Amino acid sequence: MAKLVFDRICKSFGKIKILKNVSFDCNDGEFLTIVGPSGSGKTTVLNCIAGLVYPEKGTIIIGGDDATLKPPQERDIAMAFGSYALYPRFSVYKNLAFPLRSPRSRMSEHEIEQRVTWVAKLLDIDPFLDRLPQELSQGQRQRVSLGRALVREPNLLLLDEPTSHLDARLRNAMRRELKLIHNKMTQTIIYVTHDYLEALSLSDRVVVLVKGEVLQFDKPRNIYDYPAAVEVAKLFGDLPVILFKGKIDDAGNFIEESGSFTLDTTVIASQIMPETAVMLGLRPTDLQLVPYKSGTLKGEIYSIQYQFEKKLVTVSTNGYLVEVVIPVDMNISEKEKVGIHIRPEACFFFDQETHRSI
Amino acid sequence: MATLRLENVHKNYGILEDAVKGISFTCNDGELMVLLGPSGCGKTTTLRMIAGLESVTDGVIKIDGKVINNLAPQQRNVAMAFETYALYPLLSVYKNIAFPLQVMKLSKAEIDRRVREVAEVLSITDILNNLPGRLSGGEKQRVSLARALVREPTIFLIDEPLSHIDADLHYRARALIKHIHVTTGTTMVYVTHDQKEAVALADRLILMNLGTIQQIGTPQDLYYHPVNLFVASFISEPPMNTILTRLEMGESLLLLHLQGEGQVILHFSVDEIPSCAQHALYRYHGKEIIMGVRPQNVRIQHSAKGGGILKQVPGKLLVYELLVNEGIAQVLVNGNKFECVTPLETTFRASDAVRLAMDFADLYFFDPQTTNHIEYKRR
Repeated sequence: MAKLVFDRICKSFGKIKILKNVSFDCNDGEFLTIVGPSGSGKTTVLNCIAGLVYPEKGTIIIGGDDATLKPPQERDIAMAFGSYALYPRFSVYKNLAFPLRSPRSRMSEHEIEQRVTWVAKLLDIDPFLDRLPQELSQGQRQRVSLGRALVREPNLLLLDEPTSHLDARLRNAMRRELKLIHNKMTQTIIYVTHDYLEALSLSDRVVVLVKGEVLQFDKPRNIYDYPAAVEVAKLFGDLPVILFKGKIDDAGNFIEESGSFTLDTTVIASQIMPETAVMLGLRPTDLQLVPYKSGTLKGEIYSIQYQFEKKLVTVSTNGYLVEVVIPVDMNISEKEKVGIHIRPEACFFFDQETHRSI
Repeated sequence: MATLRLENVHKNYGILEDAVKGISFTCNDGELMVLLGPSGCGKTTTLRMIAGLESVTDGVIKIDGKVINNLAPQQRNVAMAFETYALYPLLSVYKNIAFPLQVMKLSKAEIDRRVREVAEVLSITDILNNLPGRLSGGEKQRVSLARALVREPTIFLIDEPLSHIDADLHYRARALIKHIHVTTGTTMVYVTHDQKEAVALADRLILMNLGTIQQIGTPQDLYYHPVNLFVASFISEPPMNTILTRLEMGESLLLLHLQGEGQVILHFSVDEIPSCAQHALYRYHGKEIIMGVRPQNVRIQHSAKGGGILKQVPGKLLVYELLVNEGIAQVLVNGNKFECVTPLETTFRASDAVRLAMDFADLYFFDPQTTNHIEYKRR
């Protein structure tokens, strides 16, 4: 079984630095997720682990051995992608058996059958073994692709955005499916995604990678509750954080840049150096809609979106658009003047220059 | 400003089956109507027939009472925005937006007034001099919407405009479309396959499947009064749990035998069941019926906590997902999978023995043959 150490890895393509000193580790049997926007270097990390590209600097240790420069076939790693890359003319059975028939594995047909049956049962695709990929639904194809990676029982399983092209509903279903499968096995998994819900639901720990740098490496809930940088807060949440620029005064109050509002944040900001240029971050779910007069922010309703159990209201205030989530039975209408109440405890503060959390 | 009416409209692409099979609806003046359905349901074909980009095989399309079947697209005064922005790369944002007005040969002053007005609504005034190549995805989308809106069309048609935008900008883009709708009062027809988007935007929505209209109504109508199983499962996320059961109505209890492995029965006290429901369900006594319950309405607890046999069934927890403000549990009950949305709960583990409880008022029933909703007056 495999513990992975990814130590201070640098990788460039030409002049472009893709990975800048990326470090993390993954324990035996852990489900580790790498989250980042497109272009952040997520896939390059996987390619380095798989041996498809070699880093310029740094070390990769797999199961105690230095694997930095080992060829891919000596690493005992399997990989599955978003595009399933199934052989269209092979039945599901043959697709699953393919990795076992490589000259290196030398398995008997009987052994192959056992392994294929095992993996097909695990993934609930045993009724379709005789079908061709084109006769399967998207979700089923995804499971076959996953099955082909799993069938060798690799030490380390790398999954590169396996759900990226599925629609929202199928992605939600597949997420639970993956969790169910993971509960039944002991493999170490490294999973790449840009979907924070997958990271939150599936992983033991999460690496947040932005522009080739690790911004945060922690348990998923901690990342949601204590984002280490603006970019992390933006990635983690159904509705991205609302950001205001401003300063902290001597007493710990937040003063918005254009002077449009001041917020008493002494309870949480008293440690911040006065006059620091900060960004105040707020999650729409932490805001409350109140009568115009009693709001910290005052504005008017820009639009209302209905969501069955709640409404998502966009308020236009001092040149900002701010989202607020309200109960579905609260009656309001467009153009209405409203206030927004901000609880100081719900505020995040980030440095304006570095974007890091303060 | 206009009323749109489709009467028994068909579209056939020369193969045996019609792509659109005789649909009729009215979109009222100033209404935002959403056409929703899975891919291949005929929603985009319908939109393109309204725009005049596809011919109508049979039936009538009217705007303000006038038949427009044979009018060229430019004569219909409808505007269409696509999922690809299709901006002219060598023209500035200003010129891109002004283009349709120049074609209409309006005066320079009038063009300038209209461009600035629509730019204001869409907050793109400060990028009017930029070239499209320098804009972000969200900005390009707003320019594309502006170019469609600037003609002041009587009907605004929008086809999946958000599929190219980053997911985290979707809610903002929707807010914008809703804002434009309220500000301009233009009649809009909006096509999407995303039920969440449809519900967020629609005054009313039309759910289509396989070329036919399944149901027309407000989002609440479709949620609380779905006409059939398709509508009920399509309209909420996670989808409604639907289970085949055998119904038995006794003196004091209503029993639902969950079909599957072994015997599992949901008991409800008849006192809890309104008489109209008893009446509607009585003809299924001793027969099969499909029971539906939304994941949001299923409560889950550890078996040890117990609590009688009424309204609950035993199950095994397969997966429990911890999300931000809620958890989603998948539970196996005699071979049937139930999903339930719960408040955050950290004590659930896979394979735990659990109980699922639900109230009769939250159940929906469907005929197993027709899959039609067996509707009765609720509460």
